[in-house]
Amino acid sequence: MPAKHAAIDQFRRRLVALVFVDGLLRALLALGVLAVVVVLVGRGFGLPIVPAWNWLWATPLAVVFAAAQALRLPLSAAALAVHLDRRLGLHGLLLAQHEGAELDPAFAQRLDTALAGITQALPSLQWRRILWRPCVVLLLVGAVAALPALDVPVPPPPVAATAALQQLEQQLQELVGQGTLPPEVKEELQQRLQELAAQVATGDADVWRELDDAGRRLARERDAARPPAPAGDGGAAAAAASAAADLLRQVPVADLARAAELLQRSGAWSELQQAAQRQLAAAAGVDGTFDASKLPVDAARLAELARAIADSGLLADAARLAGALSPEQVAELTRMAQGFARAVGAFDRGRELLQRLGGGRGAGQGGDGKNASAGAGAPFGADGPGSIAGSGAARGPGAAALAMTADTDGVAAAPLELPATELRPDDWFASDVRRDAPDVAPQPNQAAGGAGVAGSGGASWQLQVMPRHRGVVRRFFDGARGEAGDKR
Amino acid sequence: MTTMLRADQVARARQLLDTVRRGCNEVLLGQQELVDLCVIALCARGHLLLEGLPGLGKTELVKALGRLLGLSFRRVQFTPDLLPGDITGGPVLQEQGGQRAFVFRQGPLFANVVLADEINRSSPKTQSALLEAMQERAVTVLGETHPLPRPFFVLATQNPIELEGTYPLPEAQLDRFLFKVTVPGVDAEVMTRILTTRRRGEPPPPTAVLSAAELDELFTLVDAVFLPQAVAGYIARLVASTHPTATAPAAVREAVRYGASPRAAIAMGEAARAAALLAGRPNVDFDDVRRVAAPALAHRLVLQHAARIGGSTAATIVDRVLEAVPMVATALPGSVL
Repeated sequence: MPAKHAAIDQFRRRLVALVFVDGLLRALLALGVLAVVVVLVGRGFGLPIVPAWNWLWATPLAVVFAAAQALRLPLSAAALAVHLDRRLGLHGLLLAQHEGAELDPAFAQRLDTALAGITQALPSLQWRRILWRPCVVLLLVGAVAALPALDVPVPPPPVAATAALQQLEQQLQELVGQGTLPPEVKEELQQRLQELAAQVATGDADVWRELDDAGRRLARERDAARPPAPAGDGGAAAAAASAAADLLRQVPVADLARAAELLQRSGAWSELQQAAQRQLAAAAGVDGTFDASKLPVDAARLAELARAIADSGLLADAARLAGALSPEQVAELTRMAQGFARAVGAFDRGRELLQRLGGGRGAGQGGDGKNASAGAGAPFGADGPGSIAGSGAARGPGAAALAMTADTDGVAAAPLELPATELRPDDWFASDVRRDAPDVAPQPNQAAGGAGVAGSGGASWQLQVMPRHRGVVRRFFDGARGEAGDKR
Repeated sequence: MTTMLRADQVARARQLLDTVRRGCNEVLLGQQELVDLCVIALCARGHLLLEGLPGLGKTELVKALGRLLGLSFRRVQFTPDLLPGDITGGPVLQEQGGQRAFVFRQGPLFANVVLADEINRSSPKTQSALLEAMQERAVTVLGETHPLPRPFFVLATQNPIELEGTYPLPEAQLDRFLFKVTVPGVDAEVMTRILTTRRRGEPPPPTAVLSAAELDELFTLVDAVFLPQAVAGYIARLVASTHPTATAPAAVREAVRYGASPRAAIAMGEAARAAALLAGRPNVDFDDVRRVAAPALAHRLVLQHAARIGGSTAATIVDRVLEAVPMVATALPGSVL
């Protein structure tokens, strides 16, 4: 590329860059002024608009503006040559050569010498003329940021929410008064109520949901802090039920699934009891694994399942299993069998304890839901002597009959761990998948009296006309017919 | 591709021009700019109108130019009773071989350099007799056209005062002059030099420094000076800006009644070529145009009466035009230095 073309291109590049910077500063000034105007106008209308960092998302607009300014720079190569010629003091030599004139070698050498020092002639920004723009932006934004906060009138808090909050505070005070609330829980609840008070004061629309949650939390804490019932009444049964529930949680459900998987892999599956096979088969997957969440949630059934695996004697015959399983798997199976034995033992002890405490009332009284023994019988499910009389079917640990006449005491308020589930039940299936539009038979929107509307003239009689106007309308049409007949 | 003048050609032209300038400056002391403009006008083969007070050396300058160029020189003192035939010449009855016949007798216009002294003192009838001579370089008398010798220059002078009994030149006549140059006064130092170096103020008799061949060579070199399109566009924009249109500068809109003609643009282009060569350049630059703008444009503007009464002059209007019209049509952004 000849030197003059390179020089002109270099001049153009520098010019485009400078125009871009200049346009960027202009656009930022405009955006800054706009932001300040928005803030001031908002304050004028009482809106507390405060500059935020996310307003910087508008800066791409400034970049786009600057790029557009730079790209549509209306300077042709000839115009650039003129500018460069004058900046280099060539008195038209560059211009003449750019327009196709052939220079004498002496003049060409002078031109090349001048072009060698083009860096001195490249344009630069007049910072004194453009620096005021960012300064003004900074000053304006700073001044707006320094303005005092707008005193926005806060609407009065809703009366009902305030009353509900006061009720919660009263319940918390009662709980604190009992002295059984752990300090960390107390502090958490107090902090939560303070947050709710702030939300109520600001009129937050979602405060009712928060209030309900806090009420439920307080209720749980109240139930947890409830003192044990006196012995001889339902209190001992409740304590036994609570202990039994704790024991039940020792049944390792995941280990049951794993043990079933290993047993199936070892080929000793058929030696399990038929009932245990059915229950385990319900949790079997297609890949040979067992889903623990599909095992029975009933504690008694889980205990019986564990008992069936532990008592099958398969786990003790390690030599037999060693042929089908690895030593690690055999060791794992042995460890799980020991765990099953402990869990079954704990379950049996819990059942005996409950029978000793609540067995006097016998079956049918444990689940009446009116006293503390109701919850005691629940964990032992359908197979236990204290099964729920009202329902007749176990609903898992913590399930209890609910009496709608009074609060339910005992384990009914204990946290209930629900089994994992799916949104769609297993017995649901997709009957058909189609991609075409549904076949529907549109029905005409035909209201009563529509036939009259479709007619001509007579449709007017279908209108709802007030009784005192009907005579006028009738006389009008009758008169029209009469006049038409007279004219004919 | 256009071939520009070589460096030796430019040097040669400058040498010739410097010779003429030096000779003129020896005659007219302290008037370098005036001498340069006169030399430029001669190189551009244009006519020159000198305006100035009496005693500033206008006539001496013109006489010196004629003699320095080695051309035939005639001086015509324009008076109110001067008739066209007095300058163009006319038929006279002569007896040749026993027969009487009208023979055309050439007037003083038939010279290479004609000094029309105090041209505004003659009647318009006589002034208009110069129109054809200045434009066509020919004289038509009784249906016969007589070409004038080449080169042909009219160097006229006029006095801006003593306007009583004068006939201001019409615009058409003014337009024929390439330059109208106002002769400025001289300072005390120059007058001291005149007093000490010249007896009775008579300048040293100039001798011809250029031959006819050298003058032709000089004209050829001037014609070969390259005029870039950007500079030509600048000339066109300058001339267009002298018209009181909506896009004209405010001074033009307020003071100018009629602007300069395309002949003005042609004159500026030719004068700029000569100015470039005088500056030792093979091409015209914007500065050459600006240098010749005022003497080439000012006398072609017709000012409004109110503006003249208000003190506006054509020279100030041209200055305003030069300030308003940028040399480059597309200027750099204002924030870029």
